[in-house]
Amino acid sequence: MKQDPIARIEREVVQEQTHRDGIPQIVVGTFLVFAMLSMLDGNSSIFPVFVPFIPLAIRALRKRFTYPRIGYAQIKESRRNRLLGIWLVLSILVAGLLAFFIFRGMPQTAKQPAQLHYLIMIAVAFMIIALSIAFVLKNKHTLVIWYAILIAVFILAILVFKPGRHTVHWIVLTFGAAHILYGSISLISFLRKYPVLQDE
Amino acid sequence: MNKEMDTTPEINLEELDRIIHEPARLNIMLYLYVVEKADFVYLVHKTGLTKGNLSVHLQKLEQSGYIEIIKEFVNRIPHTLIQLTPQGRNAFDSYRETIKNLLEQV
Repeated sequence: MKQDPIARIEREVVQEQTHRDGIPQIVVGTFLVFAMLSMLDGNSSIFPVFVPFIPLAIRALRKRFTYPRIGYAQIKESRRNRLLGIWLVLSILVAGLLAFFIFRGMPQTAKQPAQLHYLIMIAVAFMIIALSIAFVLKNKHTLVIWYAILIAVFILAILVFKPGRHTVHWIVLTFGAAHILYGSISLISFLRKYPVLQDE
Repeated sequence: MNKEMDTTPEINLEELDRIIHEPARLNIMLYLYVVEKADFVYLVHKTGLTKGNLSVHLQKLEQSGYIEIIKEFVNRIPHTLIQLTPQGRNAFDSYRETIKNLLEQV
């Protein structure tokens, strides 16, 4: 089926504004690596505090690297996407608060066995959250489908194989490192391709 | 011969909006149409026009009421934001419709 040229151009602009610079991958990857390292170190309750800073970090880096090169365009947000965004933020808050209070309310002896499940849940939830923020809210790229499949496979693998205590951490850590690498390559090629342009 | 000419559909080019029909301005309108608003650098990047040329076309579009130009300073650096007005959006829709109809006639 032939795509409407306006829709095609809109899609291209969204791609360019949200993906081409590799910045979301770098930020999300850094967060995942930091989160997993802090979990391996036994500090599992610190990193959720940094979640709200992910979009802020992406925006700050874009102001520094992306917008001076390809300019800034405010993407049209459909009502559906806006609702999805609100739903996502609310569900993150509720899930985070629930996890925090459940874990906090547990007696010290019960914490240890519950910790693995808690950590897996948090790790998977944050992967979904971070990737959703980076990809789903802004467009319907085929990458989203691949990520959704990857995350689904990841969750299923955890449930089926019941890996050891730190296996999940190392998998997510590798996943995060791969993001940083991919994002860095994208950013370097972006910086090489587009020179800085001046305003009027 | 005359009979043949009579059957040729009449193409009224006067219907075309001359402000938008100019290729550079059409390009500007197109790239503003697909976003809410954008800055000057975005238009330089997308249209490939020089800064001076782009400024002239933007002025013309602003005079026609098709775009709104917002000038501001971010960290003492000038930053120009441009957005289509509702009138501009309607004009672009009408232009597309007119072009489609004309091409169908051809």
